Order: sequence, then structure tokens, then C-alpha cells
Amino acid sequence: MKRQVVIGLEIHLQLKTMSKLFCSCSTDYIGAIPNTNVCPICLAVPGSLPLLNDRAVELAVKLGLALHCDIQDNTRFHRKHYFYADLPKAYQITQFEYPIAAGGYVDIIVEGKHKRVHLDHLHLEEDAGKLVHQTSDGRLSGAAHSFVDYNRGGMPLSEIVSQPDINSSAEAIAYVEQIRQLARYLKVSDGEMESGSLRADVNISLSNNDGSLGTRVEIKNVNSLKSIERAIEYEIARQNKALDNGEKLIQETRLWDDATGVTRSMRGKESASDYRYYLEMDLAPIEVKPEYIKKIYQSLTEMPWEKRDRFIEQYKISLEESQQLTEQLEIANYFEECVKEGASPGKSANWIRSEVQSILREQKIDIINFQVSASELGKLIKKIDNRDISNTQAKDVLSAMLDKNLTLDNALEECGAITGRITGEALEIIIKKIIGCESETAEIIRSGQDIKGAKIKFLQGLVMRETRGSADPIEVLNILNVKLN
Amino acid sequence: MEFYKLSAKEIADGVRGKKWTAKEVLTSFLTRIKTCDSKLNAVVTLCEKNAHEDAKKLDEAIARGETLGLLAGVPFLVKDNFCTDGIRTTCASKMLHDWIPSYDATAIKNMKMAGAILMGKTNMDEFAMGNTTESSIFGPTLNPRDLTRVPGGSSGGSAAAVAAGYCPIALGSDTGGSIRQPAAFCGVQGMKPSYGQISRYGIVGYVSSLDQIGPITRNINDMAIVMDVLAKADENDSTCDAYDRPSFSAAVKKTDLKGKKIAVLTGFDKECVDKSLLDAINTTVQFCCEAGAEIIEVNLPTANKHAVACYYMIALGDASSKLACYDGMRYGYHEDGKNLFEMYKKSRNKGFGNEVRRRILIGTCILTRGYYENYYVPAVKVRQMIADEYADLFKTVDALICPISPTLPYKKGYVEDDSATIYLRDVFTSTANLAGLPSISLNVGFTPEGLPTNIQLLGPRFDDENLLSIASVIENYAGSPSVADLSVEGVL
Amino acid sequence: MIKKMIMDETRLKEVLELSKIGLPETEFKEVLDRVNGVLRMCDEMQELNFANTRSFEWNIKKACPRRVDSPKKWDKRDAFLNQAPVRDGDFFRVPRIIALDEDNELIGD
Ligand SMILES: [Mg+2]
Ligand SMILES: [Zn+2]
Repeated sequence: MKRQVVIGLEIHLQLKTMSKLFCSCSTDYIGAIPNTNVCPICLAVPGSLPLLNDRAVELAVKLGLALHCDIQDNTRFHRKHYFYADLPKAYQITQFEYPIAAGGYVDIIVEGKHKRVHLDHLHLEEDAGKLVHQTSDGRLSGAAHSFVDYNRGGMPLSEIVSQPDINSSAEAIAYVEQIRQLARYLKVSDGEMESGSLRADVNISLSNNDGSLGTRVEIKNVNSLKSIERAIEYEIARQNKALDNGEKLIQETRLWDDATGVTRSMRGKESASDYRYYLEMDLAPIEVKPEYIKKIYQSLTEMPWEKRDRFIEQYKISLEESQQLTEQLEIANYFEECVKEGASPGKSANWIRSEVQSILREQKIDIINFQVSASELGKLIKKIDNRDISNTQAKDVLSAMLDKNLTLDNALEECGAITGRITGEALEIIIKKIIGCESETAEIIRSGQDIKGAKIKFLQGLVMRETRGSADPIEVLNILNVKLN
Repeated sequence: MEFYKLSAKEIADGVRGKKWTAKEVLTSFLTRIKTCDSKLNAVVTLCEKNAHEDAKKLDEAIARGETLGLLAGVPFLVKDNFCTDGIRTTCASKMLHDWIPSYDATAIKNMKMAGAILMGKTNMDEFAMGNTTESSIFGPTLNPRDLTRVPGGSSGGSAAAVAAGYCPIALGSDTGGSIRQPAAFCGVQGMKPSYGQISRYGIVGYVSSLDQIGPITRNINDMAIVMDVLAKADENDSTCDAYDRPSFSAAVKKTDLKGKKIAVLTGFDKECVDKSLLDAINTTVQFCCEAGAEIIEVNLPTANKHAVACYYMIALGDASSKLACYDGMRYGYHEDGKNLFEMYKKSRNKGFGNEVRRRILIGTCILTRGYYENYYVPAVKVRQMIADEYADLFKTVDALICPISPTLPYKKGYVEDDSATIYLRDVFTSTANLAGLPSISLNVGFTPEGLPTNIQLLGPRFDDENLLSIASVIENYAGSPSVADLSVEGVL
Repeated sequence: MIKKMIMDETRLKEVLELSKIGLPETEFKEVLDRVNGVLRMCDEMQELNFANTRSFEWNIKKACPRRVDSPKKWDKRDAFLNQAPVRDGDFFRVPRIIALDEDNELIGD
């Protein structure tokens, strides 16, 4: 019998505050000189006391509400004890028995199928510092030392703990992506795995033949979506093989090694661990009254999944298209602005998903830094819709705008893509030439055999191409009709 | 001028009234300290230079006609677990022997703002763990009332300093009696205010939910002034309550106790308490009656029976947590190790003294699985029961009188072996910390041998001014203690 | 349920590891006696009826104050680093910790 895979995820999101969770140090630590974003509180200097950041509470509540959690009043912090170089107090201030947000769920779509992943809770805690094995001046530490930088220490984190509702690596990825998208929509976190503002730990077990849950293994150090997928697949295979061989699995923490593609036991290291959680008495209960929660609730904008569904409904686009367009709020907004200019939703969706996205990828920029504004693109697409210009021409225009840094009008001009510019006598000469070249087709039309009008449209297309779209297609048709009837 | 005999108020009045300068006062006190302290060992660090600068600034301000604070020109000392900007703060431990904080504790800031002049740091039990001031790496402090005895602890240096006339005010910290017991032993007045009354910012932490700092003085009036200076909300301490404090000095102007109901504690083994201390309670009760108070006897069974066990669990558990930050890395004593954990172990082993390491071990044990559920969790419940017991009592009663310590000051190097006495050693003082109550250790006289006798007063949460008021009435009857006669003791 | 516990040598060794304190074996007995003495003193506490008792959770009147989220630079950083016993440039130095990657989750030797 095939064993079922049971996965729970713990996601750590760095909250986008200006200052740290319990002190006023700046959170702008990436690339900062080591140990500059530090103060007595985050260095655990004797006599210092933690001071709770209001904004961090607000962001946690916001995220909790968006995740359908129950926001709890009077929640507390606990101390979690362990000695390590990155933890100055030798305890982490975290929430244990009383998290600020309990329950909740996230809906994900995997291979077109909807699935609800329930959450255990969301809590606030402080981040640890960083160990470096090479100093800033590039000296390799050799064998003797490691170096500690507390700039990250004390950064506010919200830890989102899911229930073991996830049953495959694909679902795990979709879940992480959904949380990440939400965090970005709400602007509560950058949600970047690369820079570490989103980190995930995976709990995985295989259910036994009798349906009971097997031994749970925690995997740490999965630093990208790809490594989450690989680590889960590896662990499923490893656990299955062990169970097939009649081995007993032990509950443990394993580290994913991206280079070798295996998980490794941390046994021995953590066996003696006992975090000795108890109430943090340097901080009083956190008050979040109904009015406070209500105010934050009212500030919530459209959720990404709401936007996705609305786009399908309102713009008659497919689920896949809508998912792509709503993946980033800025892209979704760009799309809507584009449509507002009168461009057709379908064509706008296509253009943004293909042309625009590939340019963004190429230039390695975000949509907000894209040279072409949504309204310009909208106007351009509208011209295609109106058959003022062809798709090909529009692409040329877009390139001209980007390469030569032109406005839409100037680029149209540059590409000669101004409708009706070639008209009258000049147009008649071109049409005469086309008819000359396509004499067979012309004969069919003249003889009245072009009942569906396909042949005349073909000639119209040739003329339009010849004029690079600079003719008015209606005028072209009129002239063709005169000449061939 | 014998400044050392004056109260803080008299000194400040004189400075403000230009009867004398802050510099004169300071010089006189520094001289006294330097003369006496080679013997007493109450002070571990003097900051003469800073003190002289502060005094000079103050005198200049007076010359300019500026308005001065309540403690203008009053020299003071603080226990060596208060962080002082640029002045080493050792906690009397090898661990922090060379550590120089770069900031002042809020209490220090407030004292300075009121015009008080910081002269230095006083001796204590290592990391405030002890009640004799003998576990200090600087060696023991002697009791100025009797050099063969200990000054109590852990704020022994501060209490001895005030008794010896080094300063009219010293500050201490009290986790389970560490201000009140040494004040009692040295024959001065000490107060542990309500939890949340004074900022703990800048006090090297021991037990987050029990620690509270407070004044040691030779009279209640000075104590009330210090309370006016220190009791303020502080944005650097989330546990310092933000409520409007009354004027504590206004509260100590009363001369009678009419309408007050005062309880006297019973239900403890009186055999184990020194007779002179029981007499002190009886005398105090008489004073209270004369002043018009109604007296009743009460028994607080949960507190009497379980306070010490409860206190140990909470105090040691938290101590193991608060002292975990000393890992020999960012500050403090360091020893190399071949790996991270060996470095930690070596640094902590050599940096902490015996008693501190023992307490960390017990505390760690209490918080581990199994012990936590079976010992720590019950203790936290007992703590609530004790708090409730006091809250009930103070619904109808204004104050409670009980002993501080069961004994007079111990002889140096004395080790108690009677377990009942050991238990009583902490039972009377630890309840105030567990329940967060204000408590005053009040000297009410001396034995024929010259050893101080005293009583403890406890009051309802955040009713510190009421407690000060009652204490001042009793003090009017008993008289406030004078400076120890160091010439008799051969110190001078 | 009253559960009287004692600490034995095995447990003491675990606790020494957890608290990062070393203790010569010659002192084991003394420390064990002391710990067990404290535990015995606390046994009686377990016998109380806690049915209607909540845990002591807080001891001031107000909820946790919350600081406005605005960054502030600490101007005493250098003075502090100068005192660090194991400063190395901008860093604190510790014995080599073997990590699997830059982000170094818990692993050391
Ligand atoms: Mg966590
Ligand atoms: Zn900081």
C-alpha cells in the first residue's frame, strides 16, 4: 500500500517594520556594515529591557486577519532558551502558549484543484543574528573562527504554523507561494526566500498502513522553492525506503544540503534540547481590542485570491491567465489600468503575460520600473483592437519606445504606424502593384467567386503589410472594391 | 561642618540656601569614605572625578540662580548592579569585573536630574545572590554597627554606607529582601516599593517579575523625597506602570494613625525569632495604638507556609534565564575554548562564583521538562494564592507588621544550620516581592549591645504613600537611627 | 497528581549541559544535595488544592506599552565593541562553527 505523505509547514516572515521587534534599531540590515544595527537591547546588554514595536503587532494582526485567524486579546510572550552564538540573550522572545492569531486557513490551487490548508496559528517572535565564516574585508576565517553579526538579531518575524494538511511537494510549494503572495499584497513582508525574509521549515511524515500518522521529521535549511520541493521528494523516498526495509524512523530534525541533495540528521546536537519555555515577565500582555482589530480589518484591501476570481469574472480570462496577472499586485494593477484605457482584456492579458513579462525578465526589473506606462500600453493595444495597426507593428512600436526611449506617439511615427498616412493616389499605386503581383487572386474576385470575401481580405492584408500599417484598412478595402468590381 | 550627620533634606536645603556648596559637601563625604572604607569595604568604586564635575556644575547653576531639584548637592551611592555611564558595573562578580556600561540606569538619571551627586558604587553579593554581602569578589563588607557582623545582603554595601554616614541616601535592589534585610541589619531605613513603581531599566536583571529598586536612608522623610524622584513611568521599562504618582513627601507629614487599621502577623514559629525582634514588634504596636490605630492579629497561612518554596522556584528559574546572556562573547569574562560550547562553559565557570553557578543549575533544572510541570507551575499558582491572600487582607487593613529577619545580624562567616531559621530567613521578606507589594524595613531601636532592632511594614499594591505615611508616624515615636559611631568601632 | 522528583547524576549532567556550566564530579554530591533539598522544600507546595487558582501572570495594571516604529541609531556602538572580549573588526569572534551554508542553522561541532 502506498503511504500517504503528510506535511506541515512553518513559515517565518520578516515583517516590514522600520525598526526591530523589541528595540529601535533599523531593520535595513542587508548590506549594512556588521554590528551597526545594534543597541543594548538586541545585544542583550545587562540592564536592557525589551520594548514592543507597535507596527509589528499591527502587521501580525493584519496578516492574521487575511489568513482568517482569530485574533487573540491579551496574548503573551515566552522565552525559549538555547545557547548559540547568534542568540545574545540565550533565549528567544517568542509566543508559545498564547499566539496573537489562532486557527485560520489558506486556500491553494494545485493542478486546477482547490484545497484548503488549515493553520494552527500565527505568532510573533524575534529573529537571530547571523554567523559569517568570512570577514567583510574578505579574509577567510580558516579553521579557527566564525564571526557573529547581530544586525539581523531582533528583526520581527511572524511565524505561520500550518496544520499537517499538505500532501505533496506541489501543494507545499503552492502553499508557500500563496503565503508569499499574500504577504506582498499586504505589504507586511518582502517574502523573499533569496534574502531570507521568507524562510520555511518542513515537517513531514508518512502515514502508516493503518492510517495512523508516522514518525515526524523536521527539515530545516530549505532556502528556495526548489529546495523545498527537492527536500520533500528526497525525504519521501528516504522514509519510504526505510519503512520498506522495516526500519524504524526517529523523530528528529534534519538539515537539507542543497549541494548534495540530501537531508542530514542533526542528531546528537539537539537530543539534549529542552527549550524551557516560560512566560516573559519583562513584557505585559499584548492588548488588541475589538475596535483595534476592526480598524485593521477595514484597512484590508482586495485579497489576491479575490482579485484572481474577480479578474476571471470581470475580464472573462482563464484561471491560468488570471493567476499570472494577479501574482503580483503591481502587475494586476498595470493590467487593470491598461484595460481602463479601452484595451481589450484578452489582448492586454496576452501582452502583459508575454511581451511585457519577457522584457521585465530580460531587463531584470519590476513592473513599477517598466518604461512603458500602463496607459501607453493600453492605447497601443487599443490600436490593435481597432485594427489600426497589426500585432507585429505594435511590437515594433513597443521596441521603439524601449530602445529609443520614445513616447507612444513618437514611436508610432517612427515606425510609420500612423493610420491613414498613406492615402489617396499613393495608396492606389501600391494597391495597383499588389493586384499586379496577385493577378490570379484578382481574377477570382473579379469573376465573382469570392463569395465569403476571404480573397479580398487577403489582398487587404497584403496592402496593409506593404504599407506597414500606415494605410487606413477601410480605405484599402474601398479602393480594392472599386478596382476589382 | 559634620555633613555626614545631616539628612538629605538638610543638605539640599543648605545647598539651595547657599549655606554651603555642593563641592564642600561632596569633599567632606569623599573624605569620610576614604578614611573609613579600607576597613568597612562598603564601596567598590568611587567616581570622584565625575562627582566633582557634577558638583561644580551644580554650584555654577546655583550661582546663576537656577531652580534646583529636590536633592540638590546630595551625594549618593548605588549598588554595583546599577548601570552607570562610563563607570564600571561589576555586580561584584568576576564575570563583569571590567565591564563599563555606556548608559545610566533610569534611576541614576532621575537622581542626577534632581541634583543628587553620584559618588560611586557599593558592594553586594555576587549578582545579588545572597544575604550577607560575603560572596562579593571584592571581599565582605563589615557591619558599621558591629564590625564582627555582616551587613546583610545583597545590598549590604548600600546599607552599610548609609549607616556609616558615607551618604544620606543609597540605592539598592530587592528581589526577595535585598534592600530590607541589610537595612535592618545596619540599622537604617529601607524600602522596596510596589512592583512597577520605579523603572528597572539599567539594573542588571536577576528576576524580572520580582526585582524592584528602592532607597536606603536614615529617615522616612528622605525616603519619601527619593520616592518622589524615582517613582516615574519610564518608556524604557514596559513593566514600570504609567499612572500618576502622588507626592510621597506630602504623605509623610501626618502625625497620627487615627482611622488606620494595622494588622500584626501571627502563625509563624516565634521560637525561631530573636526575642529583641519580637519586642520591637510589640513596642511598635504600642506606638501605633498610641497614635490612634486599630490593631488586629492576622494569620496568612499560604504565605507563611509556602512563600519560600514558591520564591525559590520563581527566583531561581528566572535567574537561570537572565544570567544566560553571560557567555563570554560580547562583554564580561572570557576564556577561549576549542568550540563554542566549551568557550561558554569555561567563561561561565570561571566568571561566576560558586553560589551563582549553583543557583543557575537549580534554576535550569526547575525549568526542564517534568520539573517545570511539577514544581514551577505549582509555584506560579501558589504565587497567585499568596497575592490573593494579601489582596484580601488589604481590603480591610491598611498595613501589616511583621519581622524582617528572624535574627539579629549574623556573625561573619556564620552558616545557619537550623532549617527552620533558614526558612524564616526569607519568608517574611519574599512575600512582598511575590505579591508585588510595597514594604518598608523600619529601624525602631537598638539592643543594649547596640544591634539594630526593626520591623517590617507591608501595604497594598501601589499604596506606597500610605505605607510611607504610617512608617513616618512610627518613626516619630521610635526616632530615626543616627550614624554609626565609627570611632567606637575603631574605624575612624 | 503529586509527583515527587529528585535530581540524580544523569539529570545533573543534562542540566550542566543545558546551562553551559561545568562542575567537577567531586562537587556533584554537594550540588545534588542542595537541589534535592530545594525540591523537598517544594514538595509540600504541590499538595495544595489548585482547583480554583489561576497562575500568577502579571503584576502591573496596564497592558504592554507599544513603541512607535521609528528607527534610531545607537551612538555608543564603538565604545561597546571596544570592550568586547572577542572583537574582530566589526564582528564578534567565536570558535569556528561548522555550518552547512551561509545561513547556518544550528550546527556546530
Ligand atoms: Mg519559532
Ligand atoms: Zn537594537
